[in-house]
Amino acid sequence: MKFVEWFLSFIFKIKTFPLIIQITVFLTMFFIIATLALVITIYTIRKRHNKLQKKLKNSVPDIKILFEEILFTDKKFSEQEIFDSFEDIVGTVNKESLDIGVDVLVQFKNDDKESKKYTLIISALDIVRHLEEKFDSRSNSQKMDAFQEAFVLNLNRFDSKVLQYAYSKNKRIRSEARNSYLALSTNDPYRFFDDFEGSLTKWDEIELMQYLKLQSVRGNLEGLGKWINYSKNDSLVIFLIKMVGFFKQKGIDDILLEKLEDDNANIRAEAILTLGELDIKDTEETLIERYYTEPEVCQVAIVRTIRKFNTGKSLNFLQEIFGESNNTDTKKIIAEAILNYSYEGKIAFQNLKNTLKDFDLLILKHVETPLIKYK
Amino acid sequence: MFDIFVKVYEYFIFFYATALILSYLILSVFSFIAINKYKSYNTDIDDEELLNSNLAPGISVIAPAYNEEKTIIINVKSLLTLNYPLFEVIIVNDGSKDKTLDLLIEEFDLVEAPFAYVEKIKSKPYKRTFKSENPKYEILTVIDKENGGTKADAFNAGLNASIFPYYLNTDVDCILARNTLTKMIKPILNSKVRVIAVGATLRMSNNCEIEEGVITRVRPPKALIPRFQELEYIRSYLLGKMGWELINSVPNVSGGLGMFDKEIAIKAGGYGADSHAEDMDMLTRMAAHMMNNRMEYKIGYIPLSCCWTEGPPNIQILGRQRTRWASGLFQMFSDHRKILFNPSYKRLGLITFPYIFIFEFLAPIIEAFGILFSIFLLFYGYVNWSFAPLILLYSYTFAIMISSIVIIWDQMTFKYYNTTREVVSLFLTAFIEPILYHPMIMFFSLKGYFSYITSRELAWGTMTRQGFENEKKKDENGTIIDANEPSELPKDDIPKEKKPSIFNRLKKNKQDSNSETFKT
Repeated sequence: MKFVEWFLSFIFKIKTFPLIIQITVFLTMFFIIATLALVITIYTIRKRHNKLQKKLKNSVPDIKILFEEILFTDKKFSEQEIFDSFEDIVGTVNKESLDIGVDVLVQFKNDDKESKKYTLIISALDIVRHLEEKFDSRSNSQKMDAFQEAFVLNLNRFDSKVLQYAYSKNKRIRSEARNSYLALSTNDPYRFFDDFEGSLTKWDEIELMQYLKLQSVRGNLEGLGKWINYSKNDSLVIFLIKMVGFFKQKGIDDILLEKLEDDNANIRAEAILTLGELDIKDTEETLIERYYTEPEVCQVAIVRTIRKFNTGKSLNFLQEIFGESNNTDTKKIIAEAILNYSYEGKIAFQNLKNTLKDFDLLILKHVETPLIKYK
Repeated sequence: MFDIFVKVYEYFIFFYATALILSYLILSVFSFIAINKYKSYNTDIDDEELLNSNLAPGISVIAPAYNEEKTIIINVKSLLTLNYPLFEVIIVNDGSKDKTLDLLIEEFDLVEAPFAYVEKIKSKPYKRTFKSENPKYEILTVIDKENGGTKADAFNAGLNASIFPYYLNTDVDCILARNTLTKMIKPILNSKVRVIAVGATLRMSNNCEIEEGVITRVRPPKALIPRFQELEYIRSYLLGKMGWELINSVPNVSGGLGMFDKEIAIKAGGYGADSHAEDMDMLTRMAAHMMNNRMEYKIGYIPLSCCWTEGPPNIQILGRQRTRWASGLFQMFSDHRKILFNPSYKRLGLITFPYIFIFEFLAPIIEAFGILFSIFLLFYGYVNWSFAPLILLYSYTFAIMISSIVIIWDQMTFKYYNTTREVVSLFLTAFIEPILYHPMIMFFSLKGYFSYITSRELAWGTMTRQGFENEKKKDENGTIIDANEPSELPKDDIPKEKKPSIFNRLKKNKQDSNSETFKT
């Protein structure tokens, strides 16, 4: 009762203060209440965290032992046995404990621990349903987790879920879904190649390459090269040309030669590099002819490709352009190409060392010093 | 007349404080959104993807060293343990006068190597390059150069020697988290717009446990000054910079830890060789370069703590550090004054720069004036004792509330501290910070401004290292032993740069422009 009286008299007293002081008092009270609420929040966050840490500390080592026994030993387990053993460790099989289990499996996969029995655990713990729930969650973070876990665990049963998000209003989710579709779809993995919005980010490229590696293992990479001609998106074309070289896709020589005439210098440069990757040696003359009319990015690509061909026919050309180039970085690349250009290249490199001096000589010494890893 | 002045002053302070409080509240909301956004779209599985990718771009880690014999070995080892598929570590020995270089040579089996060093950006003369004969350290390059007087000059030399398209600038007194590069490159990889720089949070290493250059246990510092600084850093990074990140207006990427686009850094002219706020100066140059050339750009920030640095253990060292920073800030505004309130520089000219100018640069001046004025009012009996405590309580409770918000944001991002007790100790620090720490910072800032105006000597490397007392090393038998004993650097050997006073500089600028006119 006393407090109420005091409070009312305090309010009454405040009303007599100037407006600025009234605002100050009101805000001070707000700050104090907010701080108290924040302290309670900090306490709750920490309490939850400590509980989870305790659970992780108690269960993760046992889960690891159980999964290792199932995956990497000859011991036979039924699905029910797996579920019961898992339940014994975690207490209750719920969203939280399944997340811990999935994390352990993802860690095994990332450590390249392969086994044919992953599907047994996935089925026993109903991880597909668990991931479906994550896909359906309102949290974007959960959805992103689900995309990545489905990929790492090699679960290609989520076509419909992924398709659903491929048209999401959220740009990041949409992009992730479209990229993931490449890995998770068995029927039409390149479905969204035509729908990329603007340039690919470097992260898109990293993800797509990862998914293409999976398709390569499945033997589904046929038809990748045709997209180089179909696509109007320059960044996608550059990426696909690079991938064609990386996965050594044969039979696209004509497409690559056609791309040498493209208006975009980066496309031309990537096409030149891929000619080298695919060892299409009969283009060497053409590349040398083009050298003097191309911008630097293509010139560097030509030098790298000639080094890759390693035919021994272009040593004079390499020596000539080494003398002509004014760019130190390009000179280093040319010098490296000469040094690694068969036995004749090594001799030519020594001759250059005997004739050149000052900074040019230093470039040669720099290039041949094995201690310098990145030239 | 005096009454009018007092009235005007009261209103000015009210609106200034209200604007500052409002800006903090807005930044809190912005940072909350930015942190959640970051957490939603970035997972640890991304790191694995990047580590296994053939498309991961190369990164040069550049760390200048000047008289760092106490911590150089452990810090270079820390840099070498970074987990990333393609990177090099460049240590720039900026003419150290202690055993920094000798220790590096001995520990890492370094030999002089023929190195085609190209001076793309001007710096004090380059002397030689060392590479390791031990394949374990093949990614390490040590550049030896003449002392340039500033960290900026050393960074420029490191940039000249670097090979990769992105570089991470750090200090050799910093211990980096192993996943620093994978985390910091992600905003660059994930953006359609060119990201010119990315920053991350720094914390104090003072009370952390370190093993073979890797942080194994994070704790808030025991000593009060580094603990104040830990709270201040978390506030500045998580609330300030993360908030600014949401609207692409990050004012500064710390010199202790920042990733930059090398091409843009070089085109922008590199670090201002005489700059003592080289980090903010560099970012401003890069942003200005992008805008002058009508190129879209982004500056990214991640809420994770990736870097632990030794905080000043006492007031004397804190004073030296803050005086240099304040002087650097003054120099920055003096050098880039044409950007301030200039609509051609869009957000940088109309939001970021004015905000920093009004609420960071002018704040110590306004505060100091306020204190003097209050003393004057006190002396003449003008203080209203009924209301004065309310006003003080108002600012005090606001400061504590903001610190509490920041601690929550920190807990939301990643729980670096193992125990709730450690979180509570940081929270309690917030109660004394406004009383003990803040006035010191104000004083050192004013001292820094004064030093700049009166051309006092400035020096880099003025932080006296104590070494990592919690660093554990394995001896020959594999037993873990404590590695360091505190010692002082030879302070007298610190090179000092005599600057011309601001008036002389203005005069010189005028003369320069006259001579240019004459030449034309």
